[in-house]
This record gives sequence, structure tokens and C-alpha cells, in this order.
Amino acid sequence: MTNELKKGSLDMLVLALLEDGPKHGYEIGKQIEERSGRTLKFNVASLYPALYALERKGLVAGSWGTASNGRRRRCYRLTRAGRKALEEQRARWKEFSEAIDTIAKVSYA
Amino acid sequence: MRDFTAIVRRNLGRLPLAREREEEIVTELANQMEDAYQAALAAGTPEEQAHETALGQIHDWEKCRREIVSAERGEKMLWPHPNAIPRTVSWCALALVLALCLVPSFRQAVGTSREAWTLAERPFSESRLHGIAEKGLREHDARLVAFAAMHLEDRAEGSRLAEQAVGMDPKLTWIGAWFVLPRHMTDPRVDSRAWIARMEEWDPENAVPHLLAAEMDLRNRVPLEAQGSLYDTEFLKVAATTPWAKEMAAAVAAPGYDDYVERAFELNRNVLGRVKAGSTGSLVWYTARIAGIPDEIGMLEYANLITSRLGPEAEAEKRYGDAERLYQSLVLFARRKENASSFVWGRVSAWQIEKIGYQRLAGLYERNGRGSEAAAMVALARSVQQSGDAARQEWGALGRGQWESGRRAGTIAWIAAWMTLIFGIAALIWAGLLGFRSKERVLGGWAGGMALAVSYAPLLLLASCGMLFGAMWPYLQPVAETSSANAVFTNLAPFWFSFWAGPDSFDAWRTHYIVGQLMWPGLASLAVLILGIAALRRIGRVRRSPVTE
Repeated sequence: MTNELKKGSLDMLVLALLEDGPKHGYEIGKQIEERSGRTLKFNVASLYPALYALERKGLVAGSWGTASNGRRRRCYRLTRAGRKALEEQRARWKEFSEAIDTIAKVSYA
Repeated sequence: MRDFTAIVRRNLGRLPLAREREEEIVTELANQMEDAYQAALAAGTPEEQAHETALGQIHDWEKCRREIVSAERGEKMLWPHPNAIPRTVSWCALALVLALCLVPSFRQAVGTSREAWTLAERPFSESRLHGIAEKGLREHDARLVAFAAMHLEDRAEGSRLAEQAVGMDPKLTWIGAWFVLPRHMTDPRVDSRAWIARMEEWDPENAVPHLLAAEMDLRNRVPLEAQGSLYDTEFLKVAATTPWAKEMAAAVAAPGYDDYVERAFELNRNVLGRVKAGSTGSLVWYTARIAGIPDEIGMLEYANLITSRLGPEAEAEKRYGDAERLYQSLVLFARRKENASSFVWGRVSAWQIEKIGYQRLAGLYERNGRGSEAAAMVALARSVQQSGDAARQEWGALGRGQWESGRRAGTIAWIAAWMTLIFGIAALIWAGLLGFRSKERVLGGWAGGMALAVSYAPLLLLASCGMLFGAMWPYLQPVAETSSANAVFTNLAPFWFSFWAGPDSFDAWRTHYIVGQLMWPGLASLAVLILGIAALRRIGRVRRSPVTE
């Protein structure tokens, strides 16, 4: 998958994962990798800046806690604005992918 | 226990963010590494390999810090940007430009460019010429006064100063030639006849005051707007009886020929050298003004009048001696003119007159049964024709070559001068705003783009200075070292005319040279630039290699 396509979808993927519940950065990265069957893998230099940008925009909220091993961890949860943004992004993505599928004659056999 | 926090802190460096936020980010990234490390150990990976896996979480620290800062600040660019030219390289480029400024010829090249922009019409303003005249009067230096007199736009004032110069040094009486003809912008307030009389008295053996008097007489009879065709059919019908023909006859009979061009050139060269005019461009400009004294077409028309009317009429009336003297006078006049003409076109017209004279003499001798003399005249006519043709061809080939190379260099210098000005301003902006800033800062999109652009300015300035210097170098000889008016006109004028005018005035030529001849050097320069930037980026990347322990 091209970097541009990956980068363009990262915000939506992060928001979608956080819809299931709060997660820390490592978990988010791991889940993207696992759930995509290792097709998608974001490096740290992309993932964390994306999280920080989403937080700055108020779409996710981060908070510090202490993990079982005693380490301080920052977990991110979806905000109301983030949920709304996710819905919008999903709709746009659906529209976009359907258009692409139609033109490119992609079939899901 | 691996200290990932320390590794992250060292590689990430200081971020232009609040200290608390920076600590949070460092902790979070260290956690990421720690998680990856622990996961690898749990999967049975040996410790060293697990450590490598953890470090592999972040390949490009520079990119990581940039992305983080951009995300945090919501702005586009952290300065300095990796695509910007490193500060040390830019300062080195500016240092080289300053070093170039120590070279007098380079200073002359830059000064000349400034001169060309600020004085588009002429090298010296009216007030500067007045200043030179005042200095000359104060120091009793007739040459300074004569120089100002010759070149002042106010011809009446110029004539007044010329009289003062001649008063100080009568050897400068020839400058009266510049106050005689309307084509030299003579003012009605200038007493041209008085100047002619003065020159004839001072230089009685010279043909040129008579030639000037002839032309002046003719021009005074013809309205200024009709002076493009002075020698029309109507005039030529009655020409033999006009004062013009009388003065022309006196010119042809005069034993000397001095068109004053070399005297004027020497005066210009001397004064320009002394007042530090800068470049040979000023000399070219003033030399162009002294070309064309006297009128070549008038001389050819008078030669035609003799060979087609006065001579044949004398022959028809069996005044063979008169006809022979007329033709011989033409030949002798042409020889004097040939020897004295500064410019090639002056010699070309002399050869033409000389050849016609020999041909008419040959015909006259033939008709009078003087066969051997006729044959000698035919041989001389042929010889003049051959030497004239050879000289014309040589001059043509040389002239074309010098003209083309001069124009090419002039255009390159014109482009380089503009580039030097633009990149010079951009380099000053760079030096003022970015050159001394070592601390990182975040720049908005527009400011970031501008900063990135001006970071290239010092290098581009160095390149344009080199281009300007290279193109101007052959034309930057000191004014005092120029040899003659003809040499200046042939060797330097094409360059300077092209440099002053720029490529816009030569559309077809511009297409030919810019597209045809400058395309490959331009593409080669672009390739060097791209390779240079790539090399610089590579150097920057090597310098930013991460710390792993």
C-alpha cells in the first residue's frame, strides 16, 4: 500500500480503534498491524504525531495513568467531537472507496 | 535494564515545546520502545536482538521530531529544514562572494551593472558633466572642460564651454565639429558657422572642416524630418552649382584629412580614465557618439557628381586636363581618407572612391591614346578592388564573430547581473533573518516556504556572481588600456550594446541563443545544482545518524 494512502487513512484508523475503548500508543500501532493482517504498519514517526495532532484538534483526549508494572502510560480515548469526526470520515471513505471500486471494477470474491 | 528514556532524549534533542510537554513525549516514545523490547523478549528473541527491535521503532529521528513539532504546533515547518542549505555552506558562499569583491575587476563588473541600471540613457548625467567642467575650469584643465562640452545635452551651454576650453588650449579647436551638424543635436543658439570658420583657420589643410561645412549647408536647407534622404534626385540635378559642391571641392583639394575621431577618442579615454568612470562601457557609449564624422554618403555622392557629370562634361568640351585633374583629385583625396580613417567603413568608402577615380582616368587615357597609362590605371583599379574586397571580407567575418560572441556574453552578463541583484537581496534577507539564528524555531507555511527559498540565495548569489564575472571578464580592461576608437567599437561595442539593451530587444536572436546555445549549459548547471543539493542532503543525513546507546 502506498505511503500516501496509508497516511491519509491513519486518522480514521486511530479514531476507529479508540471507538472500542481507550488505548495507549503501542497498543494502537499493534492493533492496526494485527487487524489489517500485517498489511498496515505505521512507524512511530507517523503514529505519535498523528495522535498528537488528533489530541490538539480535540478529537481524542490523552491522560496519564500507571500500568501494572509501575510505568507511567498515556492512554487515549475518543471524545464526542472525535466520534462525530469518525462518522464523517467513514462516510467519506465509503463514498470514495465505492467510487474507486466502480471505476476500477474491483470485486470482492 | 535498558534506559530507553535516555536514548530517546539524546536522539530527539531539545524540542521547541514546553519542557513538561517535551518530557511527556520522551516518556511516551520510551514506553513505545520498552513495549517493543518486552514483546520481543516474550517472543523468545535474544536480548541484543530485542534491543535492536526496540531501536528499530524509530528509523528517522529527524523526521520524527519534525512531525511531532508540526503536530503539536499545528504549523508546517521546523526551522532549519532538512531541505534548506546548511548555514555553514551559505556563510561559506557569502564569504566567497566577499572575497570576489576584493578583486578590482569584479567590483568593476558589479559597478558597471549598477551604472547600466541607474543611467540607462548615458553614462554621465548633466550635473556630473557640469561638475567635470567646473573642475576643469578651476584647475585650468582644458580637456575636462572640452569633454563636458562635447557631451552636454544642452548644446548651447556645451558650445560656450567648448569656447572656454579652446581659449585655454587652442589645440582643442577640433571639438567645434560637435557643434556644427544637426545630427549632433546642434542648438539654434549655437553659431555653427563661427565654429567652421574657426576650424578652417586653425586647421587650413584639413578636408574635414570643408566636409562639415558642406553637410551643414545642405542640412540647413532641408527640414529636419526630411534629412533621411538628403541626396535625392532633385538635389543631385542642381548639386554642382550649390555651396555644398563648392565646399566639397575644397575638401577634395585639401592636402590633409583628419576626421578628429582619434582626437575625440583620446580625449574621452583620457578624461574617463581620470574621473574613474568605471568600465569601458562608458568609453563605448561616447565612442559611438563620435563615429560618423564626417558624412560618408555625401563624399560618395560628390565622387559620383565628378565621375558622372563634371568630368564627362569637361571631356565633352575637350578640357581633358581639367577632367584628368578632377579624377586625380578624387584618387588623392580617397588615399588621404583611407590612411586617416579610424573606422573600417571610412576606408571602405575611400576604396570605392579611389576605384571609381582610377576607372575614369583609365577611360580618359584610353580615349586620348595613352594606352600604357590606361592599362596602369586599370591595374590600379583592380588592385584597389581586390584589396578592398579582401579587407571587407576579413572585416565582415571578424566583425560577425566578434559581434556574435559579444552579444552572447552581453546577454549572459545581463541575465547574471539581474540574478546577482535578486539573489543579493535574497541573501541579505537570509543573513538578516536566518543566518545568525542557531536556535530552532517553528515557521508557518508561508514563512517556512520563504525561509526555504532564501536559504538557497547565498549559493545562487555565488553562482550568479561567477557567471557575471565570467561573462564580463574579457570586457573589463582598464579604460586607459584601450588602443583606438576602431578597436573599442569592434571589440567592445557588441558586448556593451547587448548588455545595456538586454535580450528583449533581439527577439529572434534571443530565441536562437537562449534556446539554442544556452539550453545545454543551462541544463548542465541545473544538473550540477540538483546533484549538489542531493549531496548536501546526504551529508546532512549522515550527520544526523541516531545514537543507539
